[in-house]
Amino acid sequence: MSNRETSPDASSTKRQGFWTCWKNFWFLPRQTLGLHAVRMIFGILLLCWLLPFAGYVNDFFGLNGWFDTAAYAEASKAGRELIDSKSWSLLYLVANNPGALHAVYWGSVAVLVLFTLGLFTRITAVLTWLIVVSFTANPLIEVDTDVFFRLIAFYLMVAYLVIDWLRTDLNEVQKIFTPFQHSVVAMFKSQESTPRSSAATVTLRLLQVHFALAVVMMGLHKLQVAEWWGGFTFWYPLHRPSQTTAEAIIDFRARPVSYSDFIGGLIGLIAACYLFISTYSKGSYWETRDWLFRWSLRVVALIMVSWIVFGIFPRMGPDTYLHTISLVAYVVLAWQIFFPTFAWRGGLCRWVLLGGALLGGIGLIAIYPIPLLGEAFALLCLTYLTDFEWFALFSPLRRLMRT
Amino acid sequence: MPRENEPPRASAGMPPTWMLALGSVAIALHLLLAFIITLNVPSGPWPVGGAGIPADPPRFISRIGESKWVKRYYNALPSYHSFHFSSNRQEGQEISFDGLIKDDKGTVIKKISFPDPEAPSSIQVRQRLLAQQLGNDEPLPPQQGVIIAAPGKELEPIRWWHQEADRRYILKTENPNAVPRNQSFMHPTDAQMLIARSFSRFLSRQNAGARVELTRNWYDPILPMVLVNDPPPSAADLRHFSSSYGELNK
Repeated sequence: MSNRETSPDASSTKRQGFWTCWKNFWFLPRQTLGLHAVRMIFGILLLCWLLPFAGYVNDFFGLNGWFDTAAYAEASKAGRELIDSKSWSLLYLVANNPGALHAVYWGSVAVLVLFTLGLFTRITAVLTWLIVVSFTANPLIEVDTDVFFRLIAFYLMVAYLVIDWLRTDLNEVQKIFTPFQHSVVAMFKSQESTPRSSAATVTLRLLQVHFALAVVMMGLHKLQVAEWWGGFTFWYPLHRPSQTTAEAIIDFRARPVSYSDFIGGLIGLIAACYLFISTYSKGSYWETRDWLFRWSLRVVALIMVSWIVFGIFPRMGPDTYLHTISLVAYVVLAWQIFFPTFAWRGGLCRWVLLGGALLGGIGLIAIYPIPLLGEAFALLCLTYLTDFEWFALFSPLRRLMRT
Repeated sequence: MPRENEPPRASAGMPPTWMLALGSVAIALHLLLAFIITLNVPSGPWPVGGAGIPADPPRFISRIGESKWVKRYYNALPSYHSFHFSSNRQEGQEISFDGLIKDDKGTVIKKISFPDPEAPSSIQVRQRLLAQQLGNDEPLPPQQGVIIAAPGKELEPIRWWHQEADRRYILKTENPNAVPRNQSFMHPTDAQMLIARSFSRFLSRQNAGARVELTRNWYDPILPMVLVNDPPPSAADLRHFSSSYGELNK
């Protein structure tokens, strides 16, 4: 290994060749906390995703359910593209037998619990991928979340299949079955005693790159859609025809906040957010002041944000409202299309990444009725965190565990 | 190569070079395939001649994307996706449906609504997706002249939505000569009928073989211009439509 690879200074990094850069990007061992944390959060999301099916297993997945044997036969006839006849699911093996189907379902829940806890991950990671693929095989009821769940489950399976084989401090049983070394308890080890692994690097990099590709493609696809180009896309989920009355529309048309009031509010909001963030930024003027001053500023900024968000924005007039939602739509588009330019960078870009993930996650939860999509998005954004950031994120929990 | 916010760490524990080379090839091929799959989808639909028509994917990608080995790999590992989600299109009808369970005399004894308002929200979302499959009616091609069946054969019946009352339609299934002339009609697609039949059978099984009438309810989207254009919509403008498939499982 050359000195250049181990040297942290920027000038030597610039001199590295393509192979060294590639090797460091994809394989330089990183601490496994990030990987295990992603697994644990993903496991919790999977349980939240699978458990609501409890009373509907036969309806959704049985061959006596909504989409029965006769429908499958008819749909798979030549010329029909209703379902993908080449897709596979382990549930097809038991779909005719409601008892066996329920047994597989509850067995799957048990596997997901073990996977979340980090027990026997070599086996449970593979089973988790099979479970996710099997329960998402029917395209008629596929939601966007299912796609991201398959993606994450696949890469985590790869990670837990290849991790730890090169470690010399483990015996054969530990290497083959990985019974406890990735458990939740092991995640609270100190930073120094947490092992490093290239498998963790490869997996998180694959998740990062594939997710970046997905985000850019979603942005580009949205540009083909009239309501995104026109900026009215958020209008439709916010004003569902079954829940919107003529009276509500007439009331809306009479709202008082004008465009100039709104612009003032927006500038105030940006200023308040900047003030809040700058009290945390290293090297800023506010950072040099004592803690009481900084906290006072933060409280003032939060009050200002609350007043603008809850006092001004909900009373926007029709024109202002339409301008705003179209502006927000374009902010979302810009965040998605330019995602790779900030996702891997630190400093302010971290705020753009994580702030976008947080706001996007809240927006998805609040506006779109797609379950767990916001949470999945936020989790995928967390894969960009470095070891240092993961340890910083977990430090309160670690302190709590120690006490 | 993207910049990290952390300097590179010591590279102790790096796998052997042969493993790095093998891993690199696998990563490169895998990501290349992921890229191909995201591009190998039709764009649009674009308005051409009054109808929305999807355009072909890029030629250089579709050639690789349609190859056998790519499809095999894709089917074996269903972790790829084009990320062209249908949920990106929000301007659409809001569809729900009712199943009317009837006794032998045809009296309605139970009504089942989908999405079920009592179900958990994550289940309602899936039910709503199923209900959306009952949308996408297509214009019925105009019937010209009288069609005569071949000797010893009957004409293939066709289906169309017949307006029974204001905002209420019923499904008619008759021979092509029975379609009223000089009027435009919509008709359900084959996929829509397949799902409607399957769901009727499901409800029938759940209710001990009872007769089931399926009715689709839908709202047209409310356009944002209602906020600024005059006059504002009245309550009558925002009412829902309904269309009955009849008893598909009888």
